[in-house]
Amino acid sequence: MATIRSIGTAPDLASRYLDDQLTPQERDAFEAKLISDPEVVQELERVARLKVGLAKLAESGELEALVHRPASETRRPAWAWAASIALVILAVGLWRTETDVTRAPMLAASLKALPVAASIASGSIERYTMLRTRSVDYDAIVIARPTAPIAELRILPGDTAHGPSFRATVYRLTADSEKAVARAEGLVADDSGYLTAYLDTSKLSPGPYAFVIESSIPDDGSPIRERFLIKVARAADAGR
Amino acid sequence: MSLHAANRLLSPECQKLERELAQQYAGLRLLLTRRCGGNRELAADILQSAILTAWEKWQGGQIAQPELIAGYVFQTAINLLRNQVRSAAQRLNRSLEPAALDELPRDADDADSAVERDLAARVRSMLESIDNERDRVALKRFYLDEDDKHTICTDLGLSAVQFDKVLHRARGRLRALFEAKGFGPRDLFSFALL
Repeated sequence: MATIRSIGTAPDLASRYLDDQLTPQERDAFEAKLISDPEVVQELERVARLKVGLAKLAESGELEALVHRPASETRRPAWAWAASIALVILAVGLWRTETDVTRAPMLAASLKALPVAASIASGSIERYTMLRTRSVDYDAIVIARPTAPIAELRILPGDTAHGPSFRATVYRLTADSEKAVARAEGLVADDSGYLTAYLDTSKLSPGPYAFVIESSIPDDGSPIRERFLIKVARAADAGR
Repeated sequence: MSLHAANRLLSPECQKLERELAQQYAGLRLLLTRRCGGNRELAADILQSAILTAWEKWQGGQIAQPELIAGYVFQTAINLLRNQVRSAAQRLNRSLEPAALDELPRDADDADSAVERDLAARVRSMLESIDNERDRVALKRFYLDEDDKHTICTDLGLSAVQFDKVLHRARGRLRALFEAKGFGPRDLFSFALL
């Protein structure tokens, strides 16, 4: 009889057994374990549940989207959400200690809601479309120009069908933390599915930021959360 | 013995064992049903026949401990299924692969549908927790499409060790999901106390 590695070191055996893909020798060895080790039955049961669950997801049409979704659409496990909530609480605490820099709106769902808009010409707005491009370091590089301190950010969420309205938050990223510096509520997708937000770049230090949009799924309340990485650069530094 | 005959021969103890197996090993029972083209009656007959065989071994002292009975049941059931699939393929004069059987129309059953939806939700959570698309593709191709490991590794640029790690991590996450939400396996002892 062929020897068989332990289930722990041969994670494919249970699935291949269920799929009738083992050689007769492998099958004999696996069945010898199956009738002598209750853990092998449990392993078989877990794999069967996985197969049934995958088949059900495929039948419902969900599976392809789950398998091929962009990396940043990952729903976080509970501990990660807890960590995120803790970070948000920390950020809110820090935010409340900030000066006028963050108390005045820096991010808004409409141009009119941004105070700096009143003092600039209508043509001096930089426009950016944020697409998730993991092949480069940032999804967008925002140039902060003194003559054009407003950036119009257009974002295409992965799915706007589940949420009529989104919230956007800008986080300043440092080596060991991230700090919320601006937030806007009520972003609504236009006919082409894009959300638009307006950012006052004059109050942002150059460096990396995260731009996070969040919504809720009406069915179960789970949030949709997408995160884009942006870099703010001064006009003179843009090419560096 | 015909499979239908097995049903009539089940003693109360066997029927209790059948109920416990159906509850604790819902994944295997549902997979069996899918592999029978959704024919729940045929799947139930296969399972009952396997239970009867295992029960006779237990009564005859060929199974030393009650916790080993489930292994005998599923060994027998899967072998009966294999024979069923092969004879069906012969009757149809074509290859009838398990994956093809999965796609045949299935009987509706609310209780089974609810369990399948629950399993799908847990698998969805597992997939959502995996950041690497390549890993998710590997899992789908291996567990659902039944592609062989070598082909998947070649297509996705994975080594055999990397592939095993992908499977190992996914199963670990799934195990935690099943057991954390009260869907974990229990021991099959209570029927033996009758």
